[in-house]
Amino acid sequence: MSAAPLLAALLGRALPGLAARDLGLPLGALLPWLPGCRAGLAEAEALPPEERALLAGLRQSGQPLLGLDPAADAAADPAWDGAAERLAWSPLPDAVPGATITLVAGGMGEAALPEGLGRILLVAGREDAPERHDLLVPEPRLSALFERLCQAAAALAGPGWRQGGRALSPRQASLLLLAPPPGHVPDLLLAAAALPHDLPGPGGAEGLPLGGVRQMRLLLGALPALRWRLRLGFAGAEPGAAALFLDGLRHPVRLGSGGLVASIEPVPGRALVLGLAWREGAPPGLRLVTLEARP
Amino acid sequence: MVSPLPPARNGIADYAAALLTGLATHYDCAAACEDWLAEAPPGIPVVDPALAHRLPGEGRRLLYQLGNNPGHGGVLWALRDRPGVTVLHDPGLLHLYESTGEDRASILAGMRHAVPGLAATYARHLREDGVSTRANHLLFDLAGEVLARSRAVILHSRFALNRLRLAHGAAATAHAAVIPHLLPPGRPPDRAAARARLGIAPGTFLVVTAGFASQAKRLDWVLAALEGLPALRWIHAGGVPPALARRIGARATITGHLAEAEFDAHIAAADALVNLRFPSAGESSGSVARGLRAGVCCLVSATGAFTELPREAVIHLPLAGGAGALAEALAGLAAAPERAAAIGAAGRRHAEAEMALPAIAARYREVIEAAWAVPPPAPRPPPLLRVAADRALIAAALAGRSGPCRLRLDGPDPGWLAECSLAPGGLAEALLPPGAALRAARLEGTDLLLDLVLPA
Repeated sequence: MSAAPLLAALLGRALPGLAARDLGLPLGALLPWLPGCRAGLAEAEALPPEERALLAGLRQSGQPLLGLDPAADAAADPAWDGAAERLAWSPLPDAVPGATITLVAGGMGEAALPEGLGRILLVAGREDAPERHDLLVPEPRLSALFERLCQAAAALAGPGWRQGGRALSPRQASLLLLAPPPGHVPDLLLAAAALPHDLPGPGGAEGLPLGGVRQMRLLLGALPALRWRLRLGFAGAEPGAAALFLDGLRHPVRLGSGGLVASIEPVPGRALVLGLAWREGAPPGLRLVTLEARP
Repeated sequence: MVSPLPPARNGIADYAAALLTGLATHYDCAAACEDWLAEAPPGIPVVDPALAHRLPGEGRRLLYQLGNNPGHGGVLWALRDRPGVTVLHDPGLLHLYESTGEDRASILAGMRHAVPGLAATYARHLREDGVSTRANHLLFDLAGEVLARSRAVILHSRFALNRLRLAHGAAATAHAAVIPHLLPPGRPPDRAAARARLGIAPGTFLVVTAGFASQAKRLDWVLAALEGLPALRWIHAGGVPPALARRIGARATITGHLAEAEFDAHIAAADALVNLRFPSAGESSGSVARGLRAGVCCLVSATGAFTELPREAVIHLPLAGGAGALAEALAGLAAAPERAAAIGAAGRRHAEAEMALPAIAARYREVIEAAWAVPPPAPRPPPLLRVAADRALIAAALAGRSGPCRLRLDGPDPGWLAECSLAPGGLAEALLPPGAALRAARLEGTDLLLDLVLPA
């Protein structure tokens, strides 16, 4: 999913006031790239039990991941309910209930377009590895949304990009946006407390409280398959002798200014789980505030 | 391998680390451990158990090291999710279930399953008063679930296997095999060097007891035996509960928990390693394995797995009059150290022939590959959750679950229950989250037991 950063940038620019839900776990392609994005699963029952158990142990802003707890899913979500635009990313070829726009990962294939919906075919990503996705939108809004997407694409495109689009019918349009290698891979800066994790409390604007914690997991989401320089920014105390884990295995890390720095190469196709561990518990007052990743 | 590992103060952790060294010649090993910073042998990665399924490679074999203490709760839960080969270091498991918060109804069901005749009488204290007696840990085992969930089960003695077979039957234990305890890799420390390091004078007869001093290791008998032998020096190489430490502290040197190298040095320095057991639940002793490897004369109780050690390789002590027999044996060895050396040498020969790591690892491979040649066991029964009769608490308990599930509600008020049952949506609407289907409901005592199917 090397197109995810580009799609996130396109949608974020075209749809101001966007609230997003990434229901594509265990992939989590959009999760790191759209601020405030809630993570979840479109097909929890299709997951292997171990992966499901892993995700069921995580909370995002104090809530279970979407798709794992019907009661929590049904609860009010002011950030979502009150958003000007509600975008859901799903691997299933159908509109997500409650979303105003559904991004169907990989496209709808041969599935019929549901009544009342229009489709914008997206071909996006790196020009040597284009990806095909479908944007399901209310039919009456197709034309206006398409226009906004085209404008956003034009604003995003840099030298050497390929860009185009056309209205195919009242219900269908297509948009192409391809960047030359290595593609559109911007730096990433994330608030740690916005990501799913397994700490007992949700954390907040000051970060995730870690004092005394011996082990914790944090779901970063999927990053394009590149080598990244990852920096974990702490506050409140020095992180001390922290060990970093990627997908459960220890990974070399060094202490940089105000944080831990590691060179990572994520496995493509699944959301990366970061782990932190301290033999005697994290220093009192320590908070994990930000995660920065640079390709 | 799913197991505790060092530095956990746990004999099974040491065993697992040693076994990994041997298994690494047969498999591309990884160790899943609740402590992500645990120490596996060089070249073997430690992985977070929750992410072990993401390790690269298809068809990974799973080996669980299961003991009877709360440090193995994660191992039991992992086995429930994915069947594998389980090493049952102690076939009891009742303490494990009790100390990791397993539901009492499940524990009682396991006790009934293991020994139905005894459960009617001896589980009464637990059933009616919530009191678990020490006798329960001897009379019952809770190995039924592990036997059912495992592709194969490995025990360290025929005694342990026969005990399980008596309780659970031949069919349930048909996949159980005996593999003796192993000798840890590497050479034991040199005896003279170990004694010099510990400051043991050449003429001193050193008696060592080792490991965490559980009550069954009968240090009270050792104390009684040594009261009449003041010339013998006694070191306990391991931890001792405070109450017992006060009793034996004046006679013995108590080291507290030791790192492996120090532990081995104490055993190598010994003239006699005493490892008593009463009552025995069929467990084997890593300390004795180390003693045999070091060529130290081992004195063991004539019970349980110890009876399978050859007569010439150790000194077996009767359970009746154990302290007196121990005193007599130690006095005899102190008077004739060459006899202790001869028994120690025979013990070492036995250990090198039967317990050497390469042979044990090869035996493991046989059992593991045979277990993977047949289909895995059937899925486990639905989980049983216990919760107060409160809609919000029930929703929280069921969060993230799907499929069949059982719910035990703690003694709901009968009037409230009747009101819920008569409401338009019935019990299901009053108690359960949306989508949960109620398949059956029954009262057990004052508790309400619900069989549910939860939405995916």
